[in-house]
Amino acid sequence: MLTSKLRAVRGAAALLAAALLLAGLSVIGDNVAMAQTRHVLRVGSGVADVGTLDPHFATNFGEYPIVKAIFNGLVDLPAGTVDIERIEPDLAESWTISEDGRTLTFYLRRGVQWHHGYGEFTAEDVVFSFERVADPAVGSPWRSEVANIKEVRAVDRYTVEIELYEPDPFALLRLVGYHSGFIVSKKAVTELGDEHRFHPIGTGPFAFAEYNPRRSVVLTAHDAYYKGAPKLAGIEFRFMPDTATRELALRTREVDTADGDSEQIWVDRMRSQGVIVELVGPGNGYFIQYNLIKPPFDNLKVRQALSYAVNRDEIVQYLGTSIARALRSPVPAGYFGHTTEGIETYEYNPQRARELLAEAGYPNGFEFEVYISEATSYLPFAQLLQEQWRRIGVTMRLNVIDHASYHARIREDVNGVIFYNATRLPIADVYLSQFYHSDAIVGKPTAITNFSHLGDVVDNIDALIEQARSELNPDRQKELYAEAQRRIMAAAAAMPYAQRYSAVARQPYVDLGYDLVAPNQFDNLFEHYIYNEKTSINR
Amino acid sequence: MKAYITRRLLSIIPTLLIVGSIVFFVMRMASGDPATAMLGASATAESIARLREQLGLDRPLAVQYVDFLLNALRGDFGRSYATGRPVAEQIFAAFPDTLELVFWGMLVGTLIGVPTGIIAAVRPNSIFDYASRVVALLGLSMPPFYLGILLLLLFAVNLGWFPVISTPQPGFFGRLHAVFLPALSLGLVQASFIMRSVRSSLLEVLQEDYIRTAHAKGVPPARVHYWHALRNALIPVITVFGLYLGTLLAGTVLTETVFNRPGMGRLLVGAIQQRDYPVIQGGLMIYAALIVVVNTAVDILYGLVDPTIRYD
Repeated sequence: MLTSKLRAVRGAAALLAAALLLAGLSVIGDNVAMAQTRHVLRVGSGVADVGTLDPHFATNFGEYPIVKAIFNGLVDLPAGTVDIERIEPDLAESWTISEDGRTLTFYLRRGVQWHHGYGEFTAEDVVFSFERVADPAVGSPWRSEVANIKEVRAVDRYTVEIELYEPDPFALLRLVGYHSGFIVSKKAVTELGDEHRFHPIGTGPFAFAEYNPRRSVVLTAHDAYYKGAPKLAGIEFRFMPDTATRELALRTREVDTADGDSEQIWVDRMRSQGVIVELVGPGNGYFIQYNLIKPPFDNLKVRQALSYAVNRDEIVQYLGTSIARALRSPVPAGYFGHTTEGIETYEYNPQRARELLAEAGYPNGFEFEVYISEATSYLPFAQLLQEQWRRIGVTMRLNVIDHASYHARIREDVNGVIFYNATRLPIADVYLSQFYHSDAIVGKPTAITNFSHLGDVVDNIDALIEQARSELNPDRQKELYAEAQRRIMAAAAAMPYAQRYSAVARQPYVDLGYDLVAPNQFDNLFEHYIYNEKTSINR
Repeated sequence: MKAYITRRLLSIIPTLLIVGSIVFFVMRMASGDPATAMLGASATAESIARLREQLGLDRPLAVQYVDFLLNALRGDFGRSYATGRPVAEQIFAAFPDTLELVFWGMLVGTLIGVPTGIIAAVRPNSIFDYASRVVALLGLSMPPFYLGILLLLLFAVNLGWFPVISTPQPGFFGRLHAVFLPALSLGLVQASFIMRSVRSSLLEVLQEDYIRTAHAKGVPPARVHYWHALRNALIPVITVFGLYLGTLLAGTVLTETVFNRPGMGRLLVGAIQQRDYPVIQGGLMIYAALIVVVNTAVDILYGLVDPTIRYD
């Protein structure tokens, strides 16, 4: 009796052990299977759609991370940084720079394959790509970025020489995989023509698979990628313009990463739900420009008074202290050449502002009207400054219009005060050339975004910017940039007030495949996550 | 009747040309330039001018308008500035999704709105009447996107029954599953309109002499309400359906954004932001056509519901 019971217990124990073993084995099996499964990463992109996937035309902020996954440049920045001292080889294995700084020779990587059987990448593609961006008939918006390139020559199948008009200490940085630096396939662009816009052929870790208008762009792993086969099977960029929808989809894991909302409350809420939120730098610079030819802003004292009345701390408080920091120079912090040393930064001083107004002949203040975009990155800032200026007796009436109309109106020179915010290649030259060089003044054929008319009206800083551009000694170059920033602020042509990071979010199971510069924060040019061959999902 | 329908359908052509012309001029009067929107802030004035030339925007407005009219008469809406693709192709890709949403939204609105309206009218000043009127008021005051987010929070995030991203899936049930929450969000607002129309119209009819006569001669109340009264009460309600199509189409813009559905609403909003004139013109003309067709159908339905209406 006892023996039979014992037997039964033993039998049950053996069965249990077998079941546990089987279960254990199956778990191990599952793990092995999981380790081998290549997932498709689903990205909640903050745009409603893309207009092109051709890197030489991509300007919409949602297009950047897609083209970055498809294309390469000759050189690249290390993932997760914009450390301009650490430029890495990409399609070029190595390079030399001539002593006069005018000729760069690139030795190309051999055996790099274009997606979808378009053959091997060669020097011809490099020549074609730069000539394409520079060709006025092609109409790339990045043409001004290659203005210093005199000629691109294919020395042989794997060697390219780039000749510059003027030596440029940032020549390499301007060639990284970004905007004009992306290399396209000569064969693909020629054969596909207009089709290339939505059927891009690159050399990057992911190849284009499909485009569904207003829905998604799907990329698949390019297993022949020269750095090795990607860990992901592909990436699906889903267009989700609504922030609330992106947030909910991230919470239900219908997307694995998403563009965030650069608001403190959003960042805190997402973090409290176990989602990783990171802030991307160096960040968007927020500033106003005064129109130096429009009364009363043609009066230096008026401009100075308005600048002294701006309370940067209040604005940073509004944005959230982990999202934003005060900006005190025309060149944002984190950009090469940025400085606040020896610069008139117009620290908040309402008393001084009132005195200056009185000296300018406006003891009781004045009224003016500006057009302002309804966009959330414009209107709230205009309202903050409206309130701050009201305190010194200046009334700014806001004429709120849609974003596209705003951009058109400010180019027609209608505003006395122009609100703007921008992220650019993080070197002082780009910001200074686009916003303060006289060539960039609105209304000129070469116009970009100089709304102040600085350069034509007050203190010509063109020579400084141009000299700095080709100065090979970095210390001397920094001095020239510092002088330019000093003059802009002394003329009170602009009032920079804040710098704001972009928030991006991911589920903890998404491994980007690269280290972030600082906890919760990293730098890149794209204001989004960059996905490469090492990016993986570990679920 | 046939002549009437033909006449109504033919009236679509001038209607569309008028709508197209209004859109053509209004969009060009609004400042904002397609080339600037496409090339971004860093582009020089020269590149913007070149793109304007390529898009034909540098030609005199009259030339552009005549060109637009002639092409529109041939049914050619041109190519999208932003994507370079034919506008017709983009509209036909987006339209079915929006139509599907509108259909289910209308169905939800009807299925909830008509019965609630009837019960509220048949039992005026009852608890049900008050409750349904309060709910209807809430529905009317609540922006569809807010209702949409509440529905998503409950059904997608907390219960997990439906996806947050309502992209249509293959197959009838796949599509139904994806359209359910957006249609509910759109339909609930619609139900509020319909409920109020049915209630007030039925209340009015129930005061008529012939209803009193029917009651007096001993017709069962259910037959009086649902046969005699409802049939007559529905005539103004049918008009309301035609009129509400416009609000329904407008509602899809926000609903499609919140539920992430790729439809006409999102196509048009994107096109307006980008100043993509051909897409805006084509899209709004299609909407105008739809509204004319539905209103014609409403007029025809009149004749079926009310034999006293004749079309000559």
